[in-house]
Amino acid sequence: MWQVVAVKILQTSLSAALIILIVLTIRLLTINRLPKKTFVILWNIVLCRLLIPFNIPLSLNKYSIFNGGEYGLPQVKHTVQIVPNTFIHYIADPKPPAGAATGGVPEISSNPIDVMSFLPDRPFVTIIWLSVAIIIALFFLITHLRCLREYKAALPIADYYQFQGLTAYPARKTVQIKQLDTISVPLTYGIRKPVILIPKIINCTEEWRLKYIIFHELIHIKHYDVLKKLLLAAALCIHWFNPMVWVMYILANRDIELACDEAVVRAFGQTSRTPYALALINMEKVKAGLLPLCSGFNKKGAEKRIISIMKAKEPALLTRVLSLALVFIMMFASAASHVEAKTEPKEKELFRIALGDDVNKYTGSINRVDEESGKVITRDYSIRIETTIFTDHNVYAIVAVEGDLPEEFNMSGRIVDPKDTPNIPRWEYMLFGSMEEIGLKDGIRYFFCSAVITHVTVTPEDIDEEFIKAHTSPDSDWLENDSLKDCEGKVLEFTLEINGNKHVLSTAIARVFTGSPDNYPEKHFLFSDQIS
Amino acid sequence: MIIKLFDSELKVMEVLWEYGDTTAKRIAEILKEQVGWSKTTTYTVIKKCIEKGAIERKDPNYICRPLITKEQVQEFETSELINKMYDGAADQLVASLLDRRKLSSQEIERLKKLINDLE
Repeated sequence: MWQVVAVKILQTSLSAALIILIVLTIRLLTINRLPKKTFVILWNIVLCRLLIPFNIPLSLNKYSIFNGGEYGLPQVKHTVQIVPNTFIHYIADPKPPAGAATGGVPEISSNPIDVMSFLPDRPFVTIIWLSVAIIIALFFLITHLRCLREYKAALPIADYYQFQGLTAYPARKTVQIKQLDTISVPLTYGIRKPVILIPKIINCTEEWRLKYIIFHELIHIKHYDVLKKLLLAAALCIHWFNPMVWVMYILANRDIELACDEAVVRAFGQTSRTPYALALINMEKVKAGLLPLCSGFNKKGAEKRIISIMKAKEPALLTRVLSLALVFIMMFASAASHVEAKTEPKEKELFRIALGDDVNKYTGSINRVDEESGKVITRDYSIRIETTIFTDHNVYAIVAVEGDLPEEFNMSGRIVDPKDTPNIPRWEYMLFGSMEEIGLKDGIRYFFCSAVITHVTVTPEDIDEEFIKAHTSPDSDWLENDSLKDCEGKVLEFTLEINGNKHVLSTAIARVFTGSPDNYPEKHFLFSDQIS
Repeated sequence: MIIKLFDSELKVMEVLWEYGDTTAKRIAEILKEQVGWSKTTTYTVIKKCIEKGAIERKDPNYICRPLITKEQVQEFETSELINKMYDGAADQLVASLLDRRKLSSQEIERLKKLINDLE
């Protein structure tokens, strides 16, 4: 389960990294030109991208969407032989006659299977990811809880009345203002019931400064900045392996402050820039006095903030429009990155599980089966041919099954010409092959059928052990001159016998993947071990 | 003996000086009314006072007795405190007016000059 989560998060992280990079570039180019609010909104978009799980298969082929379902699989592989078979034979004898060479009757073997064998087998990575995520989360949580205990012991401010007028202004809810002697800077905590803490060292009689300080905190409350910081921390915990997310974490926290400054200056007017900047500096002075061991290591941040405040101006209409446009573009880009990421269609992904990277060469030959004839729905189950690949001599198909399928069922395949009269079976090819369960996803079981065609100029009675041997041994040359390419427009037909009911699924043969017509390269028998 | 106490701890002591020996439960009730602390908060502060040797705890009922008089108490000088905890592990989940960074006084002068220049 966690592995699936980890994979999904890796995918999310990668596409989010790209968006962060774009935001970073925009920020670098326009930081003092656009309203700071713009960047906060942009970060929020990224944050949504990082935190909201999207159930979309992403481009990392190896991490297929089927990872998830695998855990739901009973650890059993169903192998069903596809043997030559006919309608007539089924009626006469439910057991196909010619199965001797392929191990007798259609059979189901149950073998334990390592469900992860075709998936990235890296539980170790998942464990590391999860452990570090938990450690970082605990760091945040413990720090916060320790501080919270301290904050809770804050005392009401004696001359509280002087703040009444201020608190009424921008906040959306009642805000408490308290005083605490163990902090050096004003701060706000609480999302539902916000509390502003004023350090005791700030002289409460200096009203001009308090006005800015409290207003600043009220803006934080109005903007739900505590919540934003919480979500940023959550994103950092989850995406700790992504350096871009760390960059985002730092810059977004900074931009939250800058946007807040901007709002203060806007509210108090341009003339307030200097006193407000001085109020901030004075805060720093108090702190500097308190902490003799100073390091100028963060001075850059403070300086940038001062510059940002001093350069703040009422944005022109054009700037507003521009930043609004930017936000919309980024929203679409973020949404689009989901779609873009879905580069591999489901059909290919299914075949990738069965065929591995071989699937790449068949890319143009994967057929999606939409025909009604390709599905059967009963009360207990529904079965459909999901997708097919035809090569010169091979038929690959994915069959999707929903509902209760019995442990044992028979399946046979053939290629027929729809123009034939149905009662006189004169098919051209029969199929030899096997069927294997490859995955489970959203309650749908997927079976991979792989079969090789055999030339048929015989009646079903002729199919015996010798016949099969002759037609499937690697030495046999009967295939040399045959290709399914000649069968395009004809029909692949699977016959399933389940609990005594027979179902026929069919789909047209199309887009046959062919080598040179004279020298077909397709001479590998996927199932040759089973036959020999 | 002189013990340094924070404001919150002083608040608890004030209750004890006024009411004499008091159960923790009663202190919590009084402080809830006075300053709006939750029971847990009061208990946490009482525990700190006990650690500092300002309060003695007696069972049953967690009766608290002040070990020091008003005269023996000195407020923590702010310069000493502020608070290793806050500088070391900044509380990342809280919105604060300034980042908890430290600037030297030269640095502050420089920034003031910057403000003047930009004005």
